[in-house]
Amino acid sequence: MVAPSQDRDDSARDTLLVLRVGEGDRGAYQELLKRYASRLHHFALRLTRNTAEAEDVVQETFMRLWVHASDFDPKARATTWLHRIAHNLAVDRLRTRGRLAELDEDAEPVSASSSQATLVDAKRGAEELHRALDAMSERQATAIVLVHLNGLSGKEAAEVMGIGEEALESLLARGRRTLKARLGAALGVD
Amino acid sequence: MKTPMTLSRFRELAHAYGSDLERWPEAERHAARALAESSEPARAALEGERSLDAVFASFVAPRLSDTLAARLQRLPDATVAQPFRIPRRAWRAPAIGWAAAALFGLWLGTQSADAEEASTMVTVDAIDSEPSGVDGSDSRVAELASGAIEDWEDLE
Repeated sequence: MVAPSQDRDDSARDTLLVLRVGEGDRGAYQELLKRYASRLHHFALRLTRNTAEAEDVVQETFMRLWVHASDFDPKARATTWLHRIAHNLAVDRLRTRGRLAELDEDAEPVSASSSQATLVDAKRGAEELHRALDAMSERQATAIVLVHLNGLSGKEAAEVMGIGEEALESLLARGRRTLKARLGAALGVD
Repeated sequence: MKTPMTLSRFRELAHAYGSDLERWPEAERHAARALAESSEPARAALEGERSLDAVFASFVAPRLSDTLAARLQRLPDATVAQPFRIPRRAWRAPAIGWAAAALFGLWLGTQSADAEEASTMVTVDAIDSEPSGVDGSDSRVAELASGAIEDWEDLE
């Protein structure tokens, strides 16, 4: 997970890297690849639920980075820009496959006990996190991945998803509630 | 004077953004910190989110396949870095320049019909569809190349 303070420190650096890519700097491109490829791939996978589609989305995202970096507005954040490109590419694919409606289907949260589940094994919990995200609605998973795994602020995540911050907050809260219930049950804690 | 945050609102934000106040909406952080310092229930709300936050903190994105990693590495070699762009100032040529261009056009008209196509600007765009939200300015140059734009000043 990207910590907020680290994310702020890297923001200016990422902006500079994108601007250098716009000048044809391959070293800057490689650096951004190292920083974002895995994150964007995981994000695309959450959206498309398809390995081949996710790989295409990531490849096209970086192609657009290389080709359109000179269009990047330095006042914007590179991470928001890249995630927005990947999100739009993934949504276009879902639209093409007639799967766009699935994004809007919010899964019912798994019923949980009223007591708060305590996750005593965070590492094992990370493995279970992948499975739990798979079982969630794509919109909830997207919101969770953007904010809690990829380090975007609520405002940026809302911008990527094309929704208001209030709607994002609702997705995050439902998503976290679902995850707490699933992960608590999976780890057998009470 | 800033409005104090209610416990209800504090809980909503904790449920959405977790226990780290640095992740909360910037406009509400100050009020949130003040409440967390003075309210035991507020601190309890944060405590209730820590275990899930710990799971997030331990997350590592799945490694890319070797094939995908190699394709991404090679992208700059396979893609034209910068599409050819018509400089804006080229279309603000002085009158004498336009007259010369008009005469040249007349000369071309007496030559092969293909001469006009030969002078057309072409841009390389490896991507067929334009995803929503991305700058579509390259499509304008592509329209020019296809002859869809007859008035050069449309590019302004």
